[in-house]
Amino acid sequence: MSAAGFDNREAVDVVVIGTGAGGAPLIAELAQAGRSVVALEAGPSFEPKRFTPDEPTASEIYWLHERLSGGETPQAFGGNNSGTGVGGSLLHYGAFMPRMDPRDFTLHSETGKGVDWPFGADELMPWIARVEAEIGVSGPTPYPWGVPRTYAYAPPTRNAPAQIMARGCETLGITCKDAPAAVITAERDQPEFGVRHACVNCGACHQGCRNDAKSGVHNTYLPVARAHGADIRPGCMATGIVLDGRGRVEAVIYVEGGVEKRQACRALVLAAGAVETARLLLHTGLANSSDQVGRNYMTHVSTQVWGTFDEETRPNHGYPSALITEDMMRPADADFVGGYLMQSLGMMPATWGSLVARARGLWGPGLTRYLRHYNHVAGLGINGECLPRPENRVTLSAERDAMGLPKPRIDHSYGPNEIAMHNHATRVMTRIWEAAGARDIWAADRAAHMIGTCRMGTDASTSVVDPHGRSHDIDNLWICDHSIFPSAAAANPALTIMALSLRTAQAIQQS
Amino acid sequence: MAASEPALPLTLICLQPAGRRGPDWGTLAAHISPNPMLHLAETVEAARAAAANGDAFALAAAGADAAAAMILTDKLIEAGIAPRALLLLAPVMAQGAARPDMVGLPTLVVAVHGETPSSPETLRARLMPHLPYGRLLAHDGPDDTLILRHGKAIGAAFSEILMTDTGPIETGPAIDPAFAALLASDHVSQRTREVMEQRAKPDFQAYAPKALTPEALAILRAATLRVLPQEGVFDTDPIDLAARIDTRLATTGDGWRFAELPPDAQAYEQALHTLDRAAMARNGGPFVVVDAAAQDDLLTRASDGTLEAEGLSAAQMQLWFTDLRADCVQTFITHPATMGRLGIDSIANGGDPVHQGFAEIGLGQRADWEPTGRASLGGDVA
Repeated sequence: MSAAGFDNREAVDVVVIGTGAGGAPLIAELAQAGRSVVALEAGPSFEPKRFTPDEPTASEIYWLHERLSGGETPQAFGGNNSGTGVGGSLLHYGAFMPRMDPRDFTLHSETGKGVDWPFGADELMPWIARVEAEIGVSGPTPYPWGVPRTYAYAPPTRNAPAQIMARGCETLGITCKDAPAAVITAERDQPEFGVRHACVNCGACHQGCRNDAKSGVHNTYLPVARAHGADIRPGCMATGIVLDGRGRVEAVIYVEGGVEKRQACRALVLAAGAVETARLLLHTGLANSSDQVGRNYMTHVSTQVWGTFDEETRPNHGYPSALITEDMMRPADADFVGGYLMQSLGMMPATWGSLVARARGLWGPGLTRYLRHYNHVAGLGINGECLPRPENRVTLSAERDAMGLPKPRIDHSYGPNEIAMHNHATRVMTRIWEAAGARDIWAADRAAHMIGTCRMGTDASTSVVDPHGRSHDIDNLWICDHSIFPSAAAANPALTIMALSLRTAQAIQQS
Repeated sequence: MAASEPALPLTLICLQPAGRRGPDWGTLAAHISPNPMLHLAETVEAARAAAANGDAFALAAAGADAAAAMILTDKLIEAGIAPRALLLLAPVMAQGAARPDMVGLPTLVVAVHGETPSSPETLRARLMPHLPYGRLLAHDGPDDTLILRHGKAIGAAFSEILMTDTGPIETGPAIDPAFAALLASDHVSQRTREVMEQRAKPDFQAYAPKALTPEALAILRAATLRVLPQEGVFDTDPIDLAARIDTRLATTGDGWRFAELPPDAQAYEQALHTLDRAAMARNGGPFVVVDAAAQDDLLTRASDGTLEAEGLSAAQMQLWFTDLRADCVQTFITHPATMGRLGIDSIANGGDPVHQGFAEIGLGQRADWEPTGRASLGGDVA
């Protein structure tokens, strides 16, 4: 296949909408298998060397199409949750790379709450291990929780927040360890990409990694895909789906440079994320006979606790989430179902300052004074299970965006389980910070990540896609991103998304 | 501000409609140094014609004619025949009266104590935001005896105004030398350096708002000084957070908003006017006029979700106030002068072509080249 790409009029085997964790592994797999693949990416193609740690400017890698946040726990978007550009949200993600806990696949069987996944951890494990090996993940060997595993790279150097967390956890008898991180700590030469350098502790993972130490898909799967003929088109926003007379997808409509275009295809994969995938389906009215599209939008309970320390912490230094404990995945004194993962937290100044402003509620001289302590603060944070609730959902608002598409509205409210988990985590993290010698401890009530809206399952009346990501309604339409997660699980979603992507690629080839 | 000699001869063109009782312009002119020639214009067209004859001139109007004089001034500036200055005596700005957003001309506004439409409090909130080079002078009333009683003082003040240099007045803090040196070093990438240089440019007193109305910008300027006071970090000029927030509001936005609020720029405009109406109702004056304690009380109510006034609801004000806090902090902490004062080196995490990162990242560690920050506080928390 020529690098010039495919002709729009000729049907390609597969069009993929989105080039992030959901789309990229699949694009690479299908291209390597000889399929003709066109990938539509709404954002631009970035040059990593030009990424900047200046936070306002770094918003260029965030999804800035306006979303309306409603519900009792309205979620902040922009910088925190959605990316744009070739490589998707992995351009800005924190690269915290724990594996999904096997118990989280069967939460309903275990507790009677939430839902089970249509398969167990064993099914996904080979794909998980493949992703870890293919993108490059660092971590401690041996790893103290779950199944034995080996990480290919030694963990990044512990920064001050990680050292403090280790001190506090040791005092309380909580096990903690260097976190699995999709950050390489030794140089790596990849034939289709070139040299990726070792992490230099620059601290700006969320603003884009300048030396490709952070493992994304723009520096792993996508170069492989391109080398095998995939046509990756930046600046292309999908706006419509065209069906043929038999109700199968025959083309995708997208806007490039203000011009509406059409790409014919034999199969379509939506990998645009929990909000955008649902928005496109709701807008086109497709694949929704179950009325489940947009429903069961989930986040992670992402409570943080911050404190001030005598020594300088310089929280912008080093890999931000260098330490982990999985001890709270099923705590003995839990008054909630599921569990949470805890990490140490460093943070860039504007991100931290915005958190202080929003979540601590300070203003006036107290706000100014607290900001002046920046070089002496450190944090702890969690990601925890968030139960699916049908009323937490993505819908279309009455407002239109620049493309003429309805702006999405996301309603999100915590239920009792999330509130109980937040309170538990606040208590535990406060104890750890007290044990570590923190002063002026405070907790931030916040939710992060986007999960659900197109859940997978075996029953076509209660799910949108089958256990391989194929639409129950349209047999050449697939969904491959975190929108198909039936439950949130505690682990950060990127690793699971990529594993599902490889698995769905196999299913598409066998279909 | 540099002074310059007023060009001579100077004409004072007074917009003075026939049949309307006006101030004693002749007496006032005699108090202005040097004593200008007087030209009474009965209509706006007559004033425009007088202005077009090429002589240096200043424009004056009183009462209800002030709005027309401002519009004329705006048009004359556009036509390249700017007056030297503008004099508005006891101006009355009817609700909703047409008036240009900003008149960037030295202007003397004479207010009258106790006379609601022309009171110093009203004019400070409603008129002065439109006059970035304006000066407000307040005298006791009634306004028809203003010249008789205060002509000398008004004339003297206007003489000073005539010598005002309207060159842009820059405000805002400078970057500490140590941090400026860090920005110039190889620890900072060229692109980041350019971003910092751009952001370090001074603010302008005469900043013309891009998203908000001038009145709303004035309220925002007053509010940001309470929300994020900069004393203790900067001993001189603060960063004009309000102007910078306005500039951001005129761009595409940050990717989300509360569903309960209108789009960001509208939410700001409405919230600021709601705050202002609450100030009028609770404290008897516009927000920019009431004292700091009253402003803090109003902001506390916004924060608590208990600010009731016509406009946005108390719940909406509470949501907007979280946006305001976050916007203030984001604007403040990303300014290179602030980073220098607080010893924050996040933008010095690597240069070109070598991306060095940080080597000293453990507790209590700092490389020699990393800044400490004059205003940084340690682990002791009050």
